[in-house]
Amino acid sequence: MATSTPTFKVILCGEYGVGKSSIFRRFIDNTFTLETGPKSTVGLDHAVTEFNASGTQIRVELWDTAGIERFATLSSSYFQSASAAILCYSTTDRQSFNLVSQHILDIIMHSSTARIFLCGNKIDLAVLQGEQITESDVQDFQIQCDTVLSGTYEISCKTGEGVKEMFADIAMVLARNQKYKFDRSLMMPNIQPQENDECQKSGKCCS
Amino acid sequence: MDEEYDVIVLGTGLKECILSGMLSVSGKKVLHMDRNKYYGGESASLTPLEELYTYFKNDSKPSERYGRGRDWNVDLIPKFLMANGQLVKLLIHTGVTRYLEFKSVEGSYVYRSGKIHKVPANETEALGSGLMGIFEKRRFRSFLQFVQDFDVNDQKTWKNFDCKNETMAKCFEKFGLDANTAEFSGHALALHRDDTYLQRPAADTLQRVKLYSESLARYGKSPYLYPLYGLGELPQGFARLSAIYGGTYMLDKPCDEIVMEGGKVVGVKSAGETAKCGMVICDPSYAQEQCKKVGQVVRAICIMDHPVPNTKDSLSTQLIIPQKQVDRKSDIYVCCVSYTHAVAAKNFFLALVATNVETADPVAELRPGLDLLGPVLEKFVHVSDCYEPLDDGIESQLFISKSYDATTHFETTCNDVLDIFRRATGADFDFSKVKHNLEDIE
Repeated sequence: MATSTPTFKVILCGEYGVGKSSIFRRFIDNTFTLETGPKSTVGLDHAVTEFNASGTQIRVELWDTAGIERFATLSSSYFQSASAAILCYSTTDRQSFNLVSQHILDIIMHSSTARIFLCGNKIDLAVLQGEQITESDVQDFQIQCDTVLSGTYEISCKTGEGVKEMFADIAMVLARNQKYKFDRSLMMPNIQPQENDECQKSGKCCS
Repeated sequence: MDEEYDVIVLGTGLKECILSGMLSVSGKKVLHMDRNKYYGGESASLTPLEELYTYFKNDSKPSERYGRGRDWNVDLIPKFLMANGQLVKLLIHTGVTRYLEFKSVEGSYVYRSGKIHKVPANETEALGSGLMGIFEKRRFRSFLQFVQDFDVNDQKTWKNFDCKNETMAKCFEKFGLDANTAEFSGHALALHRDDTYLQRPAADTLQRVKLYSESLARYGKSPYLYPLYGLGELPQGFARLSAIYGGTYMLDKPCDEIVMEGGKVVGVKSAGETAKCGMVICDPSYAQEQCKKVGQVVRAICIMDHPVPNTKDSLSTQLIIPQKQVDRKSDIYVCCVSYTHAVAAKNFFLALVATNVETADPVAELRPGLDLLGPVLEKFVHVSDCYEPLDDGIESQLFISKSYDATTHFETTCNDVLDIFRRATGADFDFSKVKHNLEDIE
């Protein structure tokens, strides 16, 4: 593994049941499971994927919560040294959206470095069941938050819609902001990314 | 909550979290609860700095010169890890190392006749040490050589010394070591807390000295390691391990009663609900009636703006004051960490002085240790009772850990953990099992 490739720790946050582990599964091997409840999260820790963000190779290390948020708060070490947090809610569950601001406070309190990306999951269900959280809800919220959010996305882990684009976009933001510190001489142009060729194209922000 | 579990663990102190992790990994269904909102119980690292003041009921506010409160992570019970010790082995085998970063502790010192000396643990250091005269140095060197080759399971390495029956005092005698050399070997290398080891079989002490020098060999400066962001990271790491293997976590959950039937644990009652289980593991604060008080430890946490004097400006230090040097029955331990470990704001240091309480004036007992620190900006003194369970818990299936002792390393902590695991499951912890499963996941 090329050690000179910068690695960014990215954590998943948000209420229990919004599909954080599903995002994690899409991230590791692009799979999806219909299983719900604690069992769907057990065993997931963290995983690394390389991205090419407009010519800058970076590694994204995604961390899942291990289901701890079900009855307890996440530990402070989960947040430590995170570069980004993907804060998830379910587009069919208003409560999960209402609690987003609470999670933002948690992230800011535990990690001064993490950029926050807001992610609405389950848009496939929203089409069927009628959308609970609309675009204007998100826009209003974004205005309230001002500069706190570095991006917003709507995805479906079930169909895969928007997931790749989201990760590519987050990788772009991380790479762009790291560039000025990044020593070009350490880059190894010969090393080919090992996986996820699809991520080579620069992502498009879907917010 | 009203489900059934194999094990309910109460309290998220380090010992309980290690056990919770080990049991989850072994396939047990674990529920882990804590009455506090935070992880770690007594082994938490307090943050921000204001929390430390609140904890010690200090009415004043931290001075502005201490910078951002968030930059502080103050351990209530500071300890170091032996680089080759049991906790490091547990961390590696369970994969919890991936959640932590460590730094080597820069210096290991021992107090002798009013001065502090670097602890020599290998032959070169021994020859340069001011602790011994020239002839004593040679004798000490041959003792160290003997220890380095020593293997308790290989009689050939015993050099005609029956280490299982002869005492450590006899062993020192065999090498012709004087009382001074014996003292720092027993206290600063073998890390014994008092002198009773002298009359016990030598094997244990020889293995302890060997652990010290092997740990030292790993990183060079001292045998000790310390995690960035404080020791509170350790219980959190093991809690995550437990959760990944299916353990359920509940914080801020009062434990009203450990429910017993016919002298055996059947569940835990919390806020009107009862969770059923076959076994409870907890710290003494959750089962005080099943514990006895065995002593007290006094600890002073000190904020300083300089390193411990005469330690070559070490940013982290361990210092042992052997009991006899200050006419006591137990040693005084001093340890110091600093901003390089992300536990204090830039240019600040945190020092701890701790010992077993022997008199009615515990604060005065810390004096010899505090005197070595130089000027202290802020001092928080705390006397805590030490508890031990009344029985081994095998009959009741209620397993209670011992309170944390005054030592500044984790060897006694791990002994207690592995012992509880053995009593609770009837088998030693199988390290090989863990590795295999974690590789599957990745």
